[in-house]
Amino acid sequence: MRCGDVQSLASEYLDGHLDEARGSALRGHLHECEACHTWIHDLARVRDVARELPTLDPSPALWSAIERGLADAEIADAHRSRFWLGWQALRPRLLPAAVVVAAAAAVTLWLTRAPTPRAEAPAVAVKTAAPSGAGQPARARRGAAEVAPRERVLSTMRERQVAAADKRYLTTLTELRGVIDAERSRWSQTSIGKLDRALAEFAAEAARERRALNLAVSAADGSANDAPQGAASVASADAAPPTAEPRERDALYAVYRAEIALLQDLAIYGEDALARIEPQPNGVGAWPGSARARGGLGW
Amino acid sequence: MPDPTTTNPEIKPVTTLAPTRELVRPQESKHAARETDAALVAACRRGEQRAMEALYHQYKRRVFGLVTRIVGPGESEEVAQDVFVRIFRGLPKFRGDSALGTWIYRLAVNAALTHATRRGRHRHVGDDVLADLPAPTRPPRDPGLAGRLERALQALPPGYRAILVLHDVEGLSHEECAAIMGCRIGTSKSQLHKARARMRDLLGPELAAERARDRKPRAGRGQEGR
Repeated sequence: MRCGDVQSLASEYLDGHLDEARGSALRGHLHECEACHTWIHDLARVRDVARELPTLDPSPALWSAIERGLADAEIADAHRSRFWLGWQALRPRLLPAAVVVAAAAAVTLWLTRAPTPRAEAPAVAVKTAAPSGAGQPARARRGAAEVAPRERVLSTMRERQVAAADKRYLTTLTELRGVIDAERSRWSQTSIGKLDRALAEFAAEAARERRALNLAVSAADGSANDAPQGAASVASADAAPPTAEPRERDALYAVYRAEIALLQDLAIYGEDALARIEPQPNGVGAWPGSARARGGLGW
Repeated sequence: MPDPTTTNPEIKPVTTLAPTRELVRPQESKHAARETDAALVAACRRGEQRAMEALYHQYKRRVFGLVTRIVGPGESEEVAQDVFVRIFRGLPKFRGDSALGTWIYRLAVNAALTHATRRGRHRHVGDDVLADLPAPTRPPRDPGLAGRLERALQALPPGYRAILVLHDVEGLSHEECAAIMGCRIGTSKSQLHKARARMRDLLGPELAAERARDRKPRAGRGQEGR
C-alpha cells in the first residue's frame, strides 16, 4: 500500500467500511509512514469534532413565524383563480391519464421516427411509378393519402416540442453561467483557466453539432421535396422523412446536458468540481460531465 | 424422516441461535416508528394543531441544525421557517415511500442548498457571525476546535457542507445520505471523503497545535523517567 492509497481509503477505513485485508495493509502502512499517520489522525479528529458539535435550538419565535407563513400561504391560495384551484383538485386524477397519453405519444413518435424501408417503399412507389394508383394494392394507395396529414400534425407537434426544449436548455445554461460568473472571481487562476477552456470546448462542440443538425434538417427537407418528382428519388424512401428527428439533435442536447451538469457541480461544490473533468482526446463527448450526470446526484 | 438435529448431536437447531432474534428487533422498531409517523402525518393532514406542533418539536432541532450549518447562522431561521411551511403544505402529497425523517431532511437540504447556491457567494465567516449561533443545548468537549470547525464549515462549498453535516454531525448512514441527496451511495462516500479532507486543510493550524499539546506531556513524562 502506498500513501496515495491511504489518502483515498482513509474515510472508508475510519467509518469501518473497509474490508479486513485492506484495513490491515493500511494499518501496516501507518506504522511505517509518519505523514500518513498524522494525516489520518487529523481526519479522525475532524470526524470526532463534527460528531461532538452541539445540537442547535431555534428561537421560540420560530413556531409563530411558521404559523404566520402557513396563514400567508393559505391567504394567497384564497386569492387564486377558481380555474387554478379546480386544476389542483383534478391534477392527481388526471396524472395517470397523462402518463398513458404521454406513453402513447412516445410510442407514436418512436414509430414515425425510424420507419422501416418496407413500410415506406409502397408510398413512394405509388407516387413515382404509377401516380394514378392503377395496378397498386388498395392498402398502399390509402397509405399514401392518409400519411401526409398525419405527418403534418406530428411535424407541428414535434417542432413545438423541439423549440420548447431548445429554450429550456438555453435558459438553464444562461442562469447557471450567471451563477458561475459571480463565483469565479474567488477561484484560483488555474481553475479559471480550466473552466474557460472547458466552456470554450463546449461552445465549439455545440456550434459543430448545431451546424451538423442544420445540414441534416436541410438534407431531409430536400429529399422530401424531391421525392415525388421522378424515379431517381425512389432511393430517398430509405432516408428519414423530414419530420423525423435527426440524430444530430441528440448529440447537440448531449453537449448541453454535459455543460449543465458541469455548471451545476461548480455551483454546488465550487472549483473542486473541475478536478473531475479531465478532458479526453476524443472530445466533449468524453467529458464525464459530472458525478451528477453519472451518479444521479440531484437536489 | 428423522430430524437430523435430534439424531446428530453436532448439528444444533437453528432456532437456538441468538442472532436470529436480535436481527428482528430493529425492523420491529422501524415499523413502530413508521406507524407513529403515519399517525402523526394523518393528524397533521386533518389540520390538528397539536399534531402539527408535535411534528415541529420532533424535528425542529434536526432541521434547524442542518439549515444553520448549510446556510450559516444569519439566515437560518428564515430558511427553517420556509422548510417547515413546505413540510406542512407538502404533507398531503407525502406518500410514505420513504421514512418521514428522510423526507423532511430532503426538503431541508434542498431548501438550504438552493438558498446557499442562489446567494452565490462563500462568505468569510468571522467571530461576529459565530456569535450569532444559537446557544447549544450541551457544551462541546473541546469548544475551541468545535467553534473553529463551525466557522470552517461556512468556507466549504455547500454540497460538502451538506454531506458533512448529514453524516458526521447528524450521524446518518451513507444509505440515508444518498436517499436524502438523491445520489448513489458511492457518490455520498466520495463527497464525504473530500469534504473531510478539505476541512482538515482548513483546520490545519489548530490540529497541529493540538498535536503539539498532546506531545508535550508525553515528552515531559519521558524526561522525568530518565
